[in-house]
Amino acid sequence: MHPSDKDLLAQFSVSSTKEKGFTAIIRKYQEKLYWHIRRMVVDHADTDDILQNTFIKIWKGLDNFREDSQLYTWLYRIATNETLSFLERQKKNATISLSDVGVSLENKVKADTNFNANQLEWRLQLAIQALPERQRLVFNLRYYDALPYEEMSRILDTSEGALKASYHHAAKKIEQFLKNY
Amino acid sequence: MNPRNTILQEINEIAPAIGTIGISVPYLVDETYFLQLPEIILDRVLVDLPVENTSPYQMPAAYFETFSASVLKRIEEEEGQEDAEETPILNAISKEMPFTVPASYFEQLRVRDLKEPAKIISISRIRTWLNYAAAAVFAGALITGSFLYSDKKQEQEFEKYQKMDISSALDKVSDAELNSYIEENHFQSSDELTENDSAILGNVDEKIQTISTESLHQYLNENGYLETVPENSIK
Repeated sequence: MHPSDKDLLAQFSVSSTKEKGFTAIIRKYQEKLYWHIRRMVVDHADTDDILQNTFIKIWKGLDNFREDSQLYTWLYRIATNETLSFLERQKKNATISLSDVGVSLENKVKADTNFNANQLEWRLQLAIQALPERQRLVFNLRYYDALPYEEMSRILDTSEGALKASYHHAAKKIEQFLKNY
Repeated sequence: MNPRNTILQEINEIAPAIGTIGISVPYLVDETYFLQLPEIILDRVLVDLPVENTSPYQMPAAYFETFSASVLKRIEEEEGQEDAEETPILNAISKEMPFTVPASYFEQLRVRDLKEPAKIISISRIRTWLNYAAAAVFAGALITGSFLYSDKKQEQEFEKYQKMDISSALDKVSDAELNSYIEENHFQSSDELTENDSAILGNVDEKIQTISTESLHQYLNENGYLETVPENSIK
């Protein structure tokens, strides 16, 4: 059982218990954030890199965190921004077009040592990686993390209506992908 | 977070093919990864922390505790030295008072103070009297000034009319102008006034005829001064 966010923030705010509090924050949220990132970038090494950077940013910014919003929303927001920045850098470095990004990620899925094209879970991952970046984010946050649209709206700075529409389109595209595969 | 059933129900309505797959992700991660991650991140975070400023210099123990006292002592010494340089004769004289005070004077003074407390005079009362005095002086100055000014004005008016030759001034005015002035202002000449008086007195004679002699005598007795009126004044 993890301590409450309030207790963790209180620990972090005192210099003598700052490191202990931060370690507890990592332990509480590392897996959620890891899978949030991993579903977006596929590769473990990339995910590890982004996750570490995310927690370093959290360490630097936690003193200024406004407690009127939920901690996990703020953490998801940082993780999402770090992930999108990473993907942006990858596009520039590889000089690949936007339409090829999905293909690249599909290849990463297929390159996984455990990939099995007959398994529906792997097919679903292929379908998700074929989605545009924004729809991918929305689908993952809703389908896997079961986030309410209200929280997603705060994380992605998008209206709830637009998020519902994105989720609907994403689900339809995935279904179509699975039917055609 | 929303209950998993809600999410599954939602996806079944939109895309039922997804709902049958479930939410398990096929990616794998080393079991030890999450155990080590907090330590790895903390190491990175602490490396980024700025190094505390440390100085190789040393200072005497309790330096700052005695610092203020040593500074004050030095100020006193320097001020004494300056006095000695500027006024050497005065500085050579002892500051001890040559006057003496009767024995136990201050003790007695304190006792008297306790027995007879000094009378407290209200400052506001003195201030009230001062206000009255200032108002009286101001009012006096105002009345005297106005009196002198108005008297002087009357004298000036009187002198002006004394110097004026009304007869010669009237001679210059034409008859037509005089007539029109009299008509416009309904002026009564001295002749007209006399005629009117006679008319009024004539009526009086008639009215007196109706009064009894006894009443007239009583009236004259009560108003004795009327006997001094010359007879020719009544026509």
